[in-house]
Amino acid sequence: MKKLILVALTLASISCTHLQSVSTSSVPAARSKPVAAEGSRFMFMFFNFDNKYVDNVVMDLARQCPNGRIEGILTKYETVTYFPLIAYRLQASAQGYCVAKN
Amino acid sequence: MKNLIYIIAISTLVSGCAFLHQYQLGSIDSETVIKGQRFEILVSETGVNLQETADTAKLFTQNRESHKQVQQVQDVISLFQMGPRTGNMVFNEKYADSIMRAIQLKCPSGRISGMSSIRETAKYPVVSGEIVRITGYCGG
Repeated sequence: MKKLILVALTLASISCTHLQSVSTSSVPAARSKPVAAEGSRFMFMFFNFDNKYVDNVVMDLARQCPNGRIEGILTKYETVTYFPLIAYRLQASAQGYCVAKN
Repeated sequence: MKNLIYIIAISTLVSGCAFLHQYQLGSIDSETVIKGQRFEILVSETGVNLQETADTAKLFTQNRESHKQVQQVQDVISLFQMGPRTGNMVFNEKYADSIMRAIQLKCPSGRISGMSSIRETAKYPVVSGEIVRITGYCGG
């Protein structure tokens, strides 16, 4: 019985990642300067009352490329389960390429 | 102690939990984002969770036969709700169509960049707010 509980606890404590959505915009030819940003929130027992944690991603990307454009943006939204029903992380990430303005 | 539990339970039910379904970014012109004005557009429609509606209906019926009938109705409706979806069903499929017009009104100059579209649900018992949130930056 103890072994069973141990196995169950071990399985439960292994993080699982679920990809909820993914999208890309047009990819540029010049891909020498990659930029990335993410917004995330730790969630305890499904308590999450807003999704404001994603709002700074655009500004974070723009600040990494202040004089250009960011193109070829791959956006992902994932949930990471640390412990079922108890501990989760919600994570939105974006990566793209800084391209000089024409 | 009992009162405290009731208060916590009611607070939890009344405050809607937010679920994010999809998140998407468009190309970013950094100058517009850094120097421009941030705007946000939110359109929403009431969603209905048929499972929870049927479960609630069952609570008000003591009769076993009525329980069975509610279950049958629930099963029949479920047959028409198959396939990929985000959130609960809504009764107005055009509620997001006004977004383009709203963007034009928010940024008449048309110099828009750093747009993100977020599909989220504010979940309450039985009903939900099915939300589309668009944020962006408007250059002068």
